[in-house]
Amino acid sequence: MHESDPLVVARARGGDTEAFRVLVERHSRYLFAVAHRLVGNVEDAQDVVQEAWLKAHRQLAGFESRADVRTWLTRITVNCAIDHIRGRRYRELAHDPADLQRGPLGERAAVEAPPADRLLFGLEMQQRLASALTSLTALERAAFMLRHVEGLSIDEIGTALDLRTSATKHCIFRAVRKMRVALASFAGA
Amino acid sequence: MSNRSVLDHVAEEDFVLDYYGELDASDRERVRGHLAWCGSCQLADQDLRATLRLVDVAPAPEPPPSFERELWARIEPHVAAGTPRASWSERLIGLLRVDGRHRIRVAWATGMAAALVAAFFVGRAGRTDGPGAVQTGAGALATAARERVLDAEVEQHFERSQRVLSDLVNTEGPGTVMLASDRARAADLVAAGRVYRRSADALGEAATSELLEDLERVLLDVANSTPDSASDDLRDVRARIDEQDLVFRLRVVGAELQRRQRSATPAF
Repeated sequence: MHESDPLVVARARGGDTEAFRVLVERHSRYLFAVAHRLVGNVEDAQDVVQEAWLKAHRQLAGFESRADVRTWLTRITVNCAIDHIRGRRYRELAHDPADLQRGPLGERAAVEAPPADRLLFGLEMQQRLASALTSLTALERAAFMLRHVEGLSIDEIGTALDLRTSATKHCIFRAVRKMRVALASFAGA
Repeated sequence: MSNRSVLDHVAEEDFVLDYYGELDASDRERVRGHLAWCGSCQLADQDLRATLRLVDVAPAPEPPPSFERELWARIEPHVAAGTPRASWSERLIGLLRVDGRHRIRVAWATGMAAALVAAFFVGRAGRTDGPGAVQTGAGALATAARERVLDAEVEQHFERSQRVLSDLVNTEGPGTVMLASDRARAADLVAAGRVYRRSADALGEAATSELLEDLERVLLDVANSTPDSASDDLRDVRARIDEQDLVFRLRVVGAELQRRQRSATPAF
């Protein structure tokens, strides 16, 4: 029988490790998608999800039992992803500031998609979109996704990513511009 | 941007800000006014909106099938090493050891907890000894019922408040973000807390009322914080939470309220 999240959380709060495992089984794929949207690659997303679960376990005692479990876990994951991006940003800046702005070598492929008539709408569009997303720098992607998907205001994103408001806006503008170029043949369809 | 005329074409940046509701009122009016008659800007705006809607259907890559199993293998040692649910007093003490920043001596914590519980009982006992203590049987029952309702409500209020304050304290770090939803939660708690404080005053619950008042001040600061002033203001709020041992006090009095509810005899 499918046990509801609040009941499973209640057991986990009582020290039931198996109950916590049930939560991990139930929500990790969703949290992975959340993390991936923000950090942009599988390995980092996996690290973020792992950190989020460890943090969730530490915060179990303070969980408001009437709150929505997935919303709570999503919030923790977003915060872990922001920490991860900030940490990565500082590490990369310390190494070579230009690297961060250009993005990793593997992600630097320009958005040079084949002509629209060679694409099958749907799957191809999704592939183009995925390609466009990977062409964003770490900051562009994080700022854009925090605004577009997570609904944070530009000021909140600036605070989270240690950016001035104008820099945050420009990250988002650049991200949108790249998206428009990449998806030009699909947007009007 | 606001010095532009409604006759000027709209910049792409303004379309983006408008889409996300980030334009101020005058710029929004200018952009909407221009869009009302300019066909080329209407097309550009529609194109932008269509593009951004496509992003909503962006597929997330699937992690490998063994993802959950491998994830659990990495997490389990940490979870298993975590102590099972501790007693409330142990958890109170543990609460004050976050990241080594709030370490205190255990003896101090225990003494503080005892003093708070004692103050809580003195408040209630003092009231029953007072001039208003003489009540009829029906009046005493009604008062007891009100006390139990208040206990339950305030205990939940304290727990919700702890979550807001704990989030604030636990997410401390450079550039920590205070979400709009955090401010909204704090504002809701301020409104509810005022009602509870009036009830606590009416019932002579001095210790509870005092704690509610201290809590309200901090929650007000959180509710009124703005993204622009986040860093410095939030540092001050955190410092006050620490100085007043607010989370600790909420835990102690909340746990005591919970215990009193469990041990209360039926009022009717």
